[in-house]
Amino acid sequence: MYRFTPGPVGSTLAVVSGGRALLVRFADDPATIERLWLAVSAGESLQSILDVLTAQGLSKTPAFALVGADSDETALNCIVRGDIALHVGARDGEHPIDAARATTWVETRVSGVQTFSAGSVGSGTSLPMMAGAVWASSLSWIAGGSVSVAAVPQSAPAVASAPAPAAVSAPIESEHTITAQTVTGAFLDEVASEGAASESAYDRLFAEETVMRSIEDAAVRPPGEDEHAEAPEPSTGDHDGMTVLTSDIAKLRSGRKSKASRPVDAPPPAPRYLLELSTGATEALDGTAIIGRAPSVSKVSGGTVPKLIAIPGNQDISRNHVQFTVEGDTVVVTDMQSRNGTTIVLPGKSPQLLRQGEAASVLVGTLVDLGGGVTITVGHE
Amino acid sequence: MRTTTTISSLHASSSISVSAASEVGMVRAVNEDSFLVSGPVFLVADGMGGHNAGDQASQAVRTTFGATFTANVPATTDDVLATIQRSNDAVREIGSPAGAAPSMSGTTLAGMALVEASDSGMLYWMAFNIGDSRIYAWDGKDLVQLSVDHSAVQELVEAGVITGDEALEHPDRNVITRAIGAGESVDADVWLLPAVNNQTFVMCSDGLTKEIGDEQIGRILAEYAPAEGGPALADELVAAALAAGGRDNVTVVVLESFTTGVGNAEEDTIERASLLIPEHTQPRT
Repeated sequence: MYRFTPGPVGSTLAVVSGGRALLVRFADDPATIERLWLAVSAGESLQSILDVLTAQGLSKTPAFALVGADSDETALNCIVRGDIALHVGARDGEHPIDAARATTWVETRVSGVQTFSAGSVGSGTSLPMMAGAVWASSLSWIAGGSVSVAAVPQSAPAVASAPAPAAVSAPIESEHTITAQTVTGAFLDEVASEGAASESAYDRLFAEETVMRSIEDAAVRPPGEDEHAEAPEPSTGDHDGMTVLTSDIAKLRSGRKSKASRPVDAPPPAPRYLLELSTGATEALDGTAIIGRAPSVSKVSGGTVPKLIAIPGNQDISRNHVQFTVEGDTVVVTDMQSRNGTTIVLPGKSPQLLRQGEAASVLVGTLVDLGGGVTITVGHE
Repeated sequence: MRTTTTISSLHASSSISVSAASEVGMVRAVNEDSFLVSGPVFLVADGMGGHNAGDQASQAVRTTFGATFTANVPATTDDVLATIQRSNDAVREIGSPAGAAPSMSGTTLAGMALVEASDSGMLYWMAFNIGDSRIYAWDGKDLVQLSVDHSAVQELVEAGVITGDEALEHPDRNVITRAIGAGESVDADVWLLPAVNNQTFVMCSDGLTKEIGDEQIGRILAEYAPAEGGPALADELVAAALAAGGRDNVTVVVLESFTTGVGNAEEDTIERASLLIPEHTQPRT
C-alpha cells in the first residue's frame, strides 16, 4: 500500500492511483495538478504522464519520480529527474535511482519489486493513501499491503480495498488464461469440440478455420462483473491446447491494457471551445481536431474519430500540421511533426515556437499560427 | 460483379468503380463470407462459428450496413461508427437452432466508406477494420496494407517474436483477437484519407491473403488489362486464390475512385493523395 509524509503546500506533490505513482516538485498550479491527476487516475501510459510534466519544455520540467507497474505486474518502470531520489527494494536487493547528474532523466526497470520510496524520508508520521493528490515530502509503497501495483488502473479502488495478500507474486499468466476462457467460454468450447471431432492437424492444413479468442478482458476483474454466468468454471483450466492464450500474447496485451481501459466517460469540459480560423470558418472543438493542408487519420480506435479541418492549397502548411485536443478543461495544442513548426501566442505573452511534435496547453484567446498567413484562435461559446 | 456510381458532396464529387467476387473455395462446404458494394459503403465480412452461424453473422453485418445508408449520398464518420455497433448487436442476436448446443458466432469486417466532413464538404475515404480481413491501397505501382490485422500472429510480429513469413505458418495464424459479435461492444480501427484524384483499394477476406502473398496481389493489379466482357479485377484475384489451393472462402472487393472538387482538386496539382507518400511540404524561405 502507499504511504505519504505530509509536506507544505507548494513543495512536492504526490499523485497516486492504482499502478501509477508520482512525486513532483513544483509550485501550486491547479491546472497542472488537475492534468496530472487526470493522467495518473486514468492509468495513462508513463509517456502520457511525461507529456504533462514536460509540457513547458525541458528546462522548465520539474524534478520528479514517476513509477508505473508493468504488465507482468511485479516489474516497475521508474523515471526519475532532478534531485528527487527514488529507492526501490526488490527481491534481488536495493536499487537506489539517482538522477541528480542527468540532464534529462533516468529511466530504469526493476522487477520483483517489494518496496519503493521517493523524496526525503525523514521525520514525520507516514499516512496511508489509496489514491489522490497530496502535498507530501515523501511517498512510499510496500508490497503485501492491500494495494497491488498490479492493479488494473480502472478497477484500482475495488482491488485496493479487497484483501489480496498474494497479489504481487500470484501466477498471473494462468489467471489471464482462465479469465479469457471465462469471457468467451461458450464459443471457445464449441471450437474446441469441433477441433476434437475432426483431426485438428487436417483442419490446420486444409480447412483454414478462423477462431476468435477474446483477450481484451484477460485482466483482473472485480467479482460480480462477469456477465457470462453460463461460462464454464474457471477451474477447468486449459483442457486443450487450442483454448489457451500463448503467454506471449497475454503479456503483450496486458501491457497495452492500461491504454485500452481508459475511461471514456471523462467529465465533459465546462465551456465548449471553438476554433476560429483566419479563413473565416469557425469549428466547434469537442474532442480532437486535426488541421492541415490535407489532413488524415491513421489507425485510431476507441469509438471516436478526430475532426479533420482542411486548409487546402497552402504550401507552407503540412498535410497534418497541428492537433487541438480538449483534455479536461484545457486545450492542448500539439504540432504534428509539421515541416515548418507552429507558433503559439498566449494572451499577453510573446510568441513561442512549438518545435516538431511539441505540445503545449493553451488558454482561450491563444493565437496559433501555422504559417502561410493562416492563424487559428482558440475561443469558447 | 461490376458497378459504377458517382457520389457528390457540396464541393466534391467521386466517381467510383467497384468489382466484387466471392467463392466458397475448394475445401469448405459453406461460404461464410459476405460483401456489400453499395455506395457510399463497401465492405467484406468473414463469418465464423458453427451451425451456419458464421454465414449468418457476416450476412447480418451486410444487412445492417445495407439498410442504413442512402444510396449515392456520402456517409458521416459517426454514422459508420454507429452502424458498426449496431452490426455487433445484430450478430449477438443470432440464436442457435433448437436442439443444437449453444453457439456463438462472430465475423470480421473490413470496409471503406466515402464520408463527408461536417462543414467543409470535403470527401474522405474512411477505412474501418475489425479482425483479419484486410484493406490494401494500390497506387498503380506499390501495394500497401492499410489495415492492421487483429490477430494473434500480428501481435507476435509487432513484438518482433516472429517474422511475417513465420506468421503464415504459425499454429495460431487463424486466431483473431477482435471480432464483431465477440463482446458487448466492438472497437474498430479507423483511418481517414482525403479522397483525391485516383485511388484504388482492395478489401479481402483472409482466404485471399493466406493463399497468395502481397507480391502476387500487386502483380495481378499491375498486369490487369480490362477487357469488354472479360473478368473483373476481383474475379482475377479470387481465381488466383482458388488456383493456389482455395482452402478457405475467398472474397475480394476492388474499389477505384476518381475524385474532383474545390478543395480536393487543388490538392491534386501538388501531390498524389494518401498517407502512403512522404510529406512534400515546401520549406519556408
